[in-house]
Amino acid sequence: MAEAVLERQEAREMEHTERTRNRRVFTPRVDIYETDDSVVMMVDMPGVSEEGVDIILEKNILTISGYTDDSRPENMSLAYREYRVGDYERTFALSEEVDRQGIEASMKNGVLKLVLPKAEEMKARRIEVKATG
Amino acid sequence: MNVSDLVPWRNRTAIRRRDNNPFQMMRREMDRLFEDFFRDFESSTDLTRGFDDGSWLSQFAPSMNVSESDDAIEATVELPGMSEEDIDVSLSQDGLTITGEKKEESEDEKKNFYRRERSYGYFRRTIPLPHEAIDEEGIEANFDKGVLKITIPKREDAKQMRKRIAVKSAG
Repeated sequence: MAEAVLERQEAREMEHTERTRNRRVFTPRVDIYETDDSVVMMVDMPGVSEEGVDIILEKNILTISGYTDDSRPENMSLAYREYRVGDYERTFALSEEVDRQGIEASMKNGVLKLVLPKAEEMKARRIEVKATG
Repeated sequence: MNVSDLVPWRNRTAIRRRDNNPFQMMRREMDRLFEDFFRDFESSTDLTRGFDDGSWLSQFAPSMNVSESDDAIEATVELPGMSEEDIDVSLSQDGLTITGEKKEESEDEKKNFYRRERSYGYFRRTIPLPHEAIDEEGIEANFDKGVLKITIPKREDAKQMRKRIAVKSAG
């Protein structure tokens, strides 16, 4: 079993999105977990600032795009490279359980945190057990 | 052993002709399936990464690029989700060592994970440096948007030390 290299996957050929920028596009790593009243997504996009994130929700398709800036000082030559710099993009299909109006996004240290609140009827609710008789 | 080796009249060329034998194809598919399965398993624990600099114990192995100009060496490490307090950069005889720990956010009590691709844990990377050539006092480290950038200026006398060697044609 060869060295397990954590490689960033390149986005699959974009059949439906043509890009006007000539940059590599990567698929960012994502953690998705569920709490009692929301679904939380953490998206790793190092090098992306708050202004560089685009979150678009169309019907039930959520598209997250992150743009990095390409500035590298001209007289620097690359001696050793393990990662390539590029933009990020990933698409998700949301289920009906999400309350679209309440989606919140925050960006810190290159990680985008998206909180997708569950619609009222989907929240876990404790049901009290009453004793009878 | 290849069944095709038994066939005497086939041309033994260096190029393997694939996709003729359905058994070979199935075997290849099975091999690939197992490889993929184990690779995913391994990448989540990341045990084999970074063997050489002793960081094989760490579960989290961030990627690093190093570039060089005439005046300085610059190393960038991708560390999304960490904060400056969790990163430690120190200079030693072996070179520049970057260590840190990426902690899991524990604000919410998580119920279920649907997907877990990001890695956490302790990491350690070392960049060997030529000590005579660098200006140790001037090393700077910046952390911005999840990327740690370390600039290591070269010493003045080291900058001139590069000599061009002329290539002469023979005869």
